[in-house]
Amino acid sequence: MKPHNPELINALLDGELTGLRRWLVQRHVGRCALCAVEYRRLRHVRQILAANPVLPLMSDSPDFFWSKVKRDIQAEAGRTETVPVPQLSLADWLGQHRAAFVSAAAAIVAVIGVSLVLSANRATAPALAGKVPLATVQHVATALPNTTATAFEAQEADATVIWVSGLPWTKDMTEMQTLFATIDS
Amino acid sequence: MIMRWLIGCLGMLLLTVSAQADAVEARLIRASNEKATPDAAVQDLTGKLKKVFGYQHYKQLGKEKKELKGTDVVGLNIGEGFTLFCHPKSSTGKKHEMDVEMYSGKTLIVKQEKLAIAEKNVLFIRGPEVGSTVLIVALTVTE
Repeated sequence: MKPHNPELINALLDGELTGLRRWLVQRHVGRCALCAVEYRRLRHVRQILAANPVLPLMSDSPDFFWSKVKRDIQAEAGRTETVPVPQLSLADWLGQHRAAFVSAAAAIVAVIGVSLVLSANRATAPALAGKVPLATVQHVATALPNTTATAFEAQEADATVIWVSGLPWTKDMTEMQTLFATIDS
Repeated sequence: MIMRWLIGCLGMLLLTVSAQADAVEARLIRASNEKATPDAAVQDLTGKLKKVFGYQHYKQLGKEKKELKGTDVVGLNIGEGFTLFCHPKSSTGKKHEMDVEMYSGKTLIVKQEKLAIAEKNVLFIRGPEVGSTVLIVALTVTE
């Protein structure tokens, strides 16, 4: 329980608390001097109010007053009231449909992204559909002695070829590896 | 909550786009005229290889594929002591420009500068002759 809570003391006095809460508040009031004083003060106010009830002052008798109210109600029964329909602004609409708006924005972003990817692929599609441009090499060189390297495009094979000629011949893979390990490039 | 959801959607979109990274692949192929069962591993290249080199049989001896990450150097060990080093320079759409060095052990066999290669392109490097065969390296860029 919060210490010194007048609302709980009020509720205790009004009989609104039950069970454990009632017991806790009662225990607190029994132990806390400040709350005990508040409890007694509020109980005293209730006792004064109970002893001196406020009587409503009416110019008419209750039966006559009720007959007037009844007449007014019956007079209003035939009338129809036009209730204005609230007009929502764009901001109100966006506020009410926030989730839908964010979903739509995300969907638009996704569509744009996918279309960008597709358009990038489509840009290369005409080239792939027809003759594929071959790979090109600006410069090719070999550092081995008595060896030359040439680059050319084999159009009939749709391939680019680097032809290294003059490389030493070897009879098997082991000899080749050993030989190339000793060549100074 | 909604912002987190939106950020999640954007993150997934970025992942989808970035997942399409290109890779460079090198294969070491031995060409010969021996009568042997066709190697299924080089079936996609056999037609081109025959047109360029004229040999009847092609066998794949080694292969390595690595993803291209910006200008990071990519080393491809394709077996029999051969290694290719790709030095990517730039990338425009699906076309990549790079320098390529082919080594046998520590010996530089051949160097190509400013190789512009795209997906579906094939670059063949005719290497040394070994016995009655010839070693060929095939370089491709794949998605």
